[in-house]
Parts: sequence; C-alpha cells; structure tokens
Amino acid sequence: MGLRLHHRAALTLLLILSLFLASCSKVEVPAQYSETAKLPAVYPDYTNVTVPVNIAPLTMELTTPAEDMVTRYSFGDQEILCGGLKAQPDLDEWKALAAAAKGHDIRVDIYAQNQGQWTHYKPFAISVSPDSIDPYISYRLIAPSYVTYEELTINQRCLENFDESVIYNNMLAANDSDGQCINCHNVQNYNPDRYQFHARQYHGGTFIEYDGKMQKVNMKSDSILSAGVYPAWHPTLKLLAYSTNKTMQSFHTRDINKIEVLDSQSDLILFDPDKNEVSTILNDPNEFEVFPCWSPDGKYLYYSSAHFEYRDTVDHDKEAIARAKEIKYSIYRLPFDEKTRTFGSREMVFDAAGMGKSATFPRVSPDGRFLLYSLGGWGCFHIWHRDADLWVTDLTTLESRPLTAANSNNVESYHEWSSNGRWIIFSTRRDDGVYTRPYIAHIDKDGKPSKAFVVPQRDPDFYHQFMKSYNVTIFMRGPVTTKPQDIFDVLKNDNVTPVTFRSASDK
Amino acid sequence: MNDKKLKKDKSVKAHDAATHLSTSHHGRSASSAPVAQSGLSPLTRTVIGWVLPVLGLVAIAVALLAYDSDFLFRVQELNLFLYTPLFFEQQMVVSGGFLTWLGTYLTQYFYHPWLGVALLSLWWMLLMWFTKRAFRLPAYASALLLVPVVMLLITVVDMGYWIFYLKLRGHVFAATIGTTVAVGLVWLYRVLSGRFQLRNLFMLLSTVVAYPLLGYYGLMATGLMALLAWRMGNGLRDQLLSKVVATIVAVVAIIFVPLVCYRYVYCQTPESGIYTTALPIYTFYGEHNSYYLPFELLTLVLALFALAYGSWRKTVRRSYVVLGNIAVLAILVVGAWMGWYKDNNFRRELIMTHAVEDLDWDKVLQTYQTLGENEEPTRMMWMLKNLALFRQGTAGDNMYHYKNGSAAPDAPFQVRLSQTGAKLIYYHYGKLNFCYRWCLEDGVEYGWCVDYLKYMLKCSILNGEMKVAKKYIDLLKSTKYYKDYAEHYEPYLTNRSLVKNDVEMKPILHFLSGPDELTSDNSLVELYLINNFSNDNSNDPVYQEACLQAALQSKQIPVFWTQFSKYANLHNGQRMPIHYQEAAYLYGHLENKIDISHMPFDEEVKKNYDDFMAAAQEMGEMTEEQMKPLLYPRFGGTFYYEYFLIRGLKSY
Repeated sequence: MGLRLHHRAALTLLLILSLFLASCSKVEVPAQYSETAKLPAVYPDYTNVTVPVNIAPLTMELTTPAEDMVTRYSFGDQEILCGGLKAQPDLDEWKALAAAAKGHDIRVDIYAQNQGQWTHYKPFAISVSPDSIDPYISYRLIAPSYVTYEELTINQRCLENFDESVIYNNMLAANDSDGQCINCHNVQNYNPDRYQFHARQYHGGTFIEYDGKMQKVNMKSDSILSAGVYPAWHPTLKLLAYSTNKTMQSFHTRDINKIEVLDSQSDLILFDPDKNEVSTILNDPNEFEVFPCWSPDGKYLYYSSAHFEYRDTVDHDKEAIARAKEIKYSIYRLPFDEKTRTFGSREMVFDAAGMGKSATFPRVSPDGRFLLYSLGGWGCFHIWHRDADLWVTDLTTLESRPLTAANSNNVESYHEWSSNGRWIIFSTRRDDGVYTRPYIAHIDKDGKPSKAFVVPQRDPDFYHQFMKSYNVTIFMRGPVTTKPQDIFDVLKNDNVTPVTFRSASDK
Repeated sequence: MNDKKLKKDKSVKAHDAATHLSTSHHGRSASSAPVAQSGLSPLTRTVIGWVLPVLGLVAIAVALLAYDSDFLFRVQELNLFLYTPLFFEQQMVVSGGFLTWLGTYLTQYFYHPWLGVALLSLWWMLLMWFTKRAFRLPAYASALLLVPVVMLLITVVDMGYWIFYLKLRGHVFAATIGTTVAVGLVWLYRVLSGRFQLRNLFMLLSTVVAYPLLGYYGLMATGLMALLAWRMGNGLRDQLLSKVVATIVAVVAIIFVPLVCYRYVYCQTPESGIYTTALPIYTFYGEHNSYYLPFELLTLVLALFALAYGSWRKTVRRSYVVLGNIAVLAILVVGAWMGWYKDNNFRRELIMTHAVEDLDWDKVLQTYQTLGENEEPTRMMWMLKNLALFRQGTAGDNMYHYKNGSAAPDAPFQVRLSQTGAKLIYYHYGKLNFCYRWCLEDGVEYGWCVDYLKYMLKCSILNGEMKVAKKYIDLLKSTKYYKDYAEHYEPYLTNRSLVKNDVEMKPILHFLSGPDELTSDNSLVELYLINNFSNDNSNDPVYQEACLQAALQSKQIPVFWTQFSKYANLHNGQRMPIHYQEAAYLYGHLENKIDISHMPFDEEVKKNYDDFMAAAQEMGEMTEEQMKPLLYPRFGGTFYYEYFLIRGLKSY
C-alpha cells in the first residue's frame, strides 16, 4: 500500500514536471511556412514606428484570426522569440535588444498558423531612436462619461517597464453621499516633487506639493470667476498661472461627438503659493482666455483666447450654447517680467480664428522653437472633437503645419513635450473613437513627427478591455513618492484660509 | 432498543473524540457541549436536525423562483462578469474585492433563474452546515439554522429599485459567500488545537487573510472567534487570561488590520468605510438604514450562537422542540414576508422590460392590463405600453384604451426613469446618443453591466461607430451567456444591410434622420421625449407619427395642429386613427381657430364627444375626482376623458 502511494506520488510529480517542461519548451520559428507580402494586422499598431531606446517591451497581438503565432524581434544576431497569440517579450531581453539596436531598427517577423499551415507575414521595423524618453508619465484615468465620474485616479506609469501606481484616488474622499472630482494634475518642469492637482466638491481645493511641503489651497474668491482650472507652473519660479472658467456642458442629439463642453466666460489669473495670493492676468469680458502655458525660459505666457461678444438676447449660457460653433480660439502670448511679476501686452502667435478654426492647449517645446497645439473646427473641448489634430508652429518663422504623420482621423489633444523635446505624448481616440489612449510620437530637430505609437502594456489586449480614458498625460523625470493617503490627509482639512486677491491697484 | 443505545453511545464517543481534537484539556466545551438529546428519537433528530432546514431551504428556493424569477433575471442583466485577468485585477483593488469577483461570477447564472437559485441554495446549505458545526447547534434547535439564511434571503429580496442604484457588485451572492466563509473560519478556529496559542495565531492570520478577501465578513469571523473563545477557552492554564488574550488579539486584529490595509495596501476606500467593506451602502439622497437591519440581525444571531456555544440543554421535551421550531419557523416566515419587496408595478416593469427586449409587444400590453382596479401605472409602464402600441402601429387607436396614471415607484428614494427605463426607451425611439449617455453615466456610477454594454453596442452599430462597437462585442464575448449575442452582431460591423434588415433595428432607422442639436434631458426622460418629438419636424411617416403622438400627450393645441396637419399630408388617403380624430374634433370645438367642418370624422368620434360633453355638463357641480369614476366606464378610452380628467401626472 505504502509503496503504491509512493509510486503514485512519483508519477504525479513526473507528470507535473513534464507539463512544466513542456510549457517551458523553447519557441522555434516554424520550419515550413508560406510567405505573404502583406504586413500583419497587429494591435497595437507598432509597424514601422520609432520608439525611444528606454521604452518598455512592445507587446502585440494579431487582429486577424490565428491558431498560433510566433513572433521574432531581432537585430543583428540577437533575437527574442515569443510563442502564443500574444507577443510579450521578456523585459530584460527586450532591454538588451533595444540597447543593441539603438539608432537602428528592430526587425519583427510574425508567423501565424491557420488550419495547421504557417504563414510568414512581411516583416516590419521598429526604429529604436537614441533619444531617450522621460521615464515616467502621469495621467488621470476617467471613464468617458458626461456628468458622473465615481472612481477617478491620477496614476503614474514607468515607461521603461509596466509598473503603474496611483498618485491619488478620489475614493479616499468619498463618503456615502458626496464624491470628489480630481483633475488638472501638473508638474513644474518635469519635476515629480513639485506638482499640483485640483479636487472639487467634497474636501475640495487645490493640492500642491513642492519639495516635500504639502499644502491645500482654497482658491475660491469673489473677485475671480472660479477657482483655478487649467494650470501652468512657471518653469523656475514658485508661481502658477491658471485659467478661471464658467464651464457648462450640453449634449448632441445626433452628432457622434455626443457631448459639448464649453465656457461662457474665462479669464487668466496668477497664483503665488507662498503668499497664498491670486491676481488677475487677463479678464476681458469679450475674450475667453484659457489654457495658459509658460515658455521654457519663463519669459512668455502663452494662452488661447476666443473673441466673443454676447448679443444679450438670452442669458449667456444659452447664447453660448446656441452660438457654440462661433467660438473659435487663437493663440496669443504675454511677455512676463520675472522681477516685477508683471505682464506686457498680448501678441498674436497663431490666428486660428482667422482660418475658421480653433486652437487649444498651446505647449512650447523645451528648446523654445516649436509651439504645439490642438486644432479643431470650433470650441475648446477638442477631446470630444473628432476633427481635432495636432499642429505645430515654428516660432522662429511662425510657419504652421499639421503633424500629419502623428495625426489620425480622430481626436488628438492633451499633448505634452518630453523634457528633451524629442518626444510628444498626447491623447487620441483613434483606436475606437470613444476611449482616449496615450500615444507617443518622435519629433526630430526640425519638428517633423514620426508615426505615433500607443504606450505599451504588458497585455497587448489591455486597451481593448479597459473602459477608462487616459486624460492629461504628462511626462515626469521620476515618480511621485508621496502616498495617496498622505495626500488625502492634507486634502481632508477644510479649515484652509482662502487666497487673498491682489487687484491691479495693489501692484 | 439495544441498537438505539449502541448508536447513541457511538455518537457520544465520536463527539468526545471531536471534542478532544478541538479543545484543550482545560477548555470548557469538552464537558459542557450538548451531546445527548434523549428526549428525541434518532428519526426525530434526523428529521428536525436536517430535514427541517433542508425543507425550509427548498421552500425558500421555490418561493424565490415562483415570485422573483424576473427580478433575478434582471439582476444578472445588471451584473457583469468577464473571464479576463483584468476584470479580476479591477475587483481586487479594494478589501472584499474577491467577494465581489466571486459574487459577480455566480450572479451571471441567474440568466437561468433556477440555476442561480440552485447555486444560492447550495451556498446556504453550506452555511447551515458550517453554522451547525461551528456553534454546535443541537439538532432540536435546527430551525435556528435557517435564521442566518433568511436574513441573507431578505438582503436579496428586499432590494426592489435598489438593483439600479446599489454600487456593491455581486451583492446577491456576496453576503452569502462572505457569511459562509466567515462561519467556516469560525469552525476551523473551533476545531483547532488550543496548544501553542494556535487559535490566537489562527485568529490573527484569518483576519490578515480574510479582511482583504472578504472585507467586513473577515472581521465578523474574528469577532465571532473572540466570542467563542469566552465559551471554550483558548489554551492557557488561566481560563480568564486565556479569554482576555483572545479578546485582545481579536480587538487588535479587527482595529489594526483594516487600518494597515488602508495605509499601505488599498487606496480606494475612504477611512470611514474600512470596517464595512463588502457591505452594500444604502445611501441615496439620504440614509436608508432599515436596509441594514438584516445584516445587523445576521451578525447578532451569529454572535448569539457563539455566546450560546456549549450552553444548550442536553435534554429537551419533544413538545418544546416542536413548539420551539414551529415558533422559529413562524417568525422567519413572517420576517421574510415583511422583508420581501412586493410591489406589483416594479414586477410589471421588469416583465415589460424583458418583453420589449424580446420584441414581444403583446406581452408588454398584456402585462400592462394586469393592473388592478385600484392600481395606477408608473410612467415607465405607460411609456413601455405606448412603445408597444407604436411598434404595432395601433397607438393612434388604442393608446388611451389603457388606464393612465403616475404611481410613484415604490422606493424610499427618488427613482428616475433615467436609471430604470431610459436606455431601452431612448434606444427604441432612436435617441441613440441619450441611450448611450445613460449607459455610460450609470455604468460609471453604479458599475458596468451586460445590459448597458448591449445597448452601447447596438447604439454604436446604428451610429456607424464600428470600432467601438467591436470593443463592446469583444467584452460581451468575454461573458458566459452573452457570447452568442455578441457574435450575432459581429457581422453587422462590416455589413450595413444587416442593420437595415434587422427586425429590432429597422424601425429605429426611421428616427435617425433628424437634425442634431445641443440640448439636455435634465434626467426627465418622458418630458424630454414629449417636448422633443412634439416640436420636431420629419417627413418620415413613422417618425412623424411619433411626433403627433407626443403632441397629443403634450395637450398643447397649436403643437397638435402642426403635427396633425403634417400627419394628414403624409398619410393622405389613409384612415385617420381614432385618437387623432378625437383630438382634432375636440380642439376644433374648443378653440374654433381651425375649420374642422370639412374633416371626415367618424360618427363614433362625434357621438362620443357630444355624449361626453353632455355627461360632463350634467355633472357640472362635481369635482374632477368625483367625475372620473362615473365617466370612466363609458369614456375611459377616449381622448376627451384623457384631456379633461387626466391631469397633474408626475413624471420622474
């Protein structure tokens, strides 16, 4: 009896071992296959893209039916072979391959098996740029809903691997009847130790962490339209520009853009966190000034503005909705004197309205040469406008053009430069028209883009399954190290002195 | 007789052995646990010990199936379980997430209500078994085993409209699984040796493992173990010290494990909610604390079982046993009856919704007609009835042949059509963006579910948004019961003619030619549809008839004439439905602005009008409320009655 048990145990062990060994068996390129001149239909589409040398492995899957797949990533005599319907290279092997292929192409061969027959697709290249990319990005994850939001997180992701963590989760502040909306996270000059984001409603306020010092700001003041909305850190001073907005939303009955968010009024303010003081930058009632952005040297404040004069036949909100397609934003800038902290007169940078278009989210490249923005037909909420594309203006010549290679026939918006200016990351709905995904494109020294690629995920099917959008994706030089709970400990204190307002006469 | 004695002796020995395994030699349970119930025969013990609870369980299952099949089917439509690692990961971001994952997995089986009920009953059976073992309930008190089950039953059947608003996913199974595992842990704790502080270690370990997986139920298990420790000792020579140490371990574990998890493991639960994770939150425009009562009673009953451990009498007179069990059963039946949500309109809405999804318009109308004499329909029922008549092409003749009213949904909070019926109604009237919007809003707010994904898929196909339609198809393919549904629509992505020939979608295409505008329904679905359609303009005869019906309901005379005139032009030479004639005849007489003398009204329309006005005049001194029952039998199916006597309907 005992012997039989031993036998049984040994056999079981042997079986498990064989199964384990079988599962670890070496992947091999099929010995026999037919060739096709067609490129494989892969998701994500990484065919002929340019990627930074330090990017995480580019995982992919076929979008056409297959029983099995073998994928070979190779450069020179180095290769990675992946078996199974999802190509998921090992991180260390990928790092070694990418480092070897720096400045060259990784060749990707895909073999797919159908009805027992293997087919070798036309190989494609992944160009490995020697330009590295900032190791971290942060973004808000939000469902593409309209009014409700429930679970919102501001997350950070290491682009060099697949590590993702939560910077802040609004559910920490949820109680049975109240919720908290969080938005507009923004770092100063790619520095993860200096950042801000807004919390609205329950325990609302603006959270700022600056070199380890955390503070909650109550920016509500009767002298300004609203608390600060779209933020812009001055690149070197502890100073933030914000837009203040009267925002509303309405719903399309037929248009597949479905929702329209628009401002019936907006201004710009400057906030000094140390003094807890705000002052007006611009508040022309006939101008909707919004989306501030500092030049990298801190000497200019760029922004979008739409000229709009109310006819006052109905209330402003209704009129703005009725005439929504007349609201078109151009891009301006204001000179800024760091010593006096005063602004000069506005200068037109890009006359989008003159083209019958609307330009939003101006972002200046770190070398100060290029102005990147999202251009659509009208309005300010390009994240829901399928015609919105990325454009760039060369600030040395004021010549403007679309980033055609990076654009799609769907939304492109919420873009940001990497700290070395060689990469941009932006939100696009090109995958399915509804859920925004973070795409990265290489920009060469002349401002020319290469084909954009989606931030890789461990599971290549991830974006197909994921029901949230990536919102306001920005680069960071490292991770935010403060824990969400510690941030909430600061935010939950509602006993915060409101900001003081400094009027022009106080200057 | 000898056999009986022998069996009894064996049972005593077996029990002693178990006791020896499970308690220390200083423990109390070995000497005081109930072992002999000499007043009962073995057969009686068996009958009362297991047959009674099992019969009770069968009765519960039959009642659930007989009364709540539509409800349970709807519960699974509002549930989502995906066979993907991502879905699992997404549930595990909170304490109790595993319970949610398991709960959503099992809830999907209510697609076949009998299967879901069978699974639920099996869990309850397991719970009873654990309860008996963990607390050593004597056979003579076996009706008590049904108490936790009935409490758990009430947490399911008392929901009513909460199914649209409750944020805890997998709720129907979550409480049952959580309680079962918790009691199972208590049983393990009890049978564990008291040596080497094993029980205290187990209690600590159990909290550390069970709290992340089961949330509140993990803590409940710890609490029950601590109570049990006061009854059975905990391994130390000093009995009191033993109990105190167990209590301290439990209190420390219950307080600090959630706190540590809050600080270092999870960031999706507010600090105020860390001790109640995996419990539903009955807050919606106010606190609705009565819904927590079954949970509180459940905890209390289990605590009492723990406190009663070892103190059951060994012998009880048969009459006491019978009477006691009957009393417990009676209380449970009454409790279940009182806790069971029994609103007829809610059930009608569920049946009508299901029938609309099956395009069974007759069933929609038949269900509406089950309204009792003293009952009033909800606005959702009225709208679904109108939709059915519209689809059958008989609304113009029949829409007022049904009793109108505006019964408020029976819920302790403001129910909105936007959550209960908007998706379906908007979809069938071609308001695809609004259907899609409410799917998204509610998916985000209350959790994604099969129902919303289905509508998002169909809206996307009809809107021509094929890429995102593919996403929803892939998600539905990852479910157990909606794979075929998704595969049915897959060819639609590439073949538009399938949409044009689809029985369900074809009528909706009539509504897709309207212009775009920026607007909002302000969460008032019926008012929005009436306003939107009655002021709309279409050359599509189907669409236009919807506009006329909306104008009829709006009771705005100028709006009616615009739509009536358009309808007459688009249906030139065709018979004019009765209600449109009635409205035209009535408005023509009321205002005298439109010359109706040349219009070919049916004699019945004219006669009814004359008779109605005469009858109304005769009742001149009466109030409208007094007139209604007198005029309804004869004029209840006319627009005249509707126009004059149906007022102040409240939509929601």
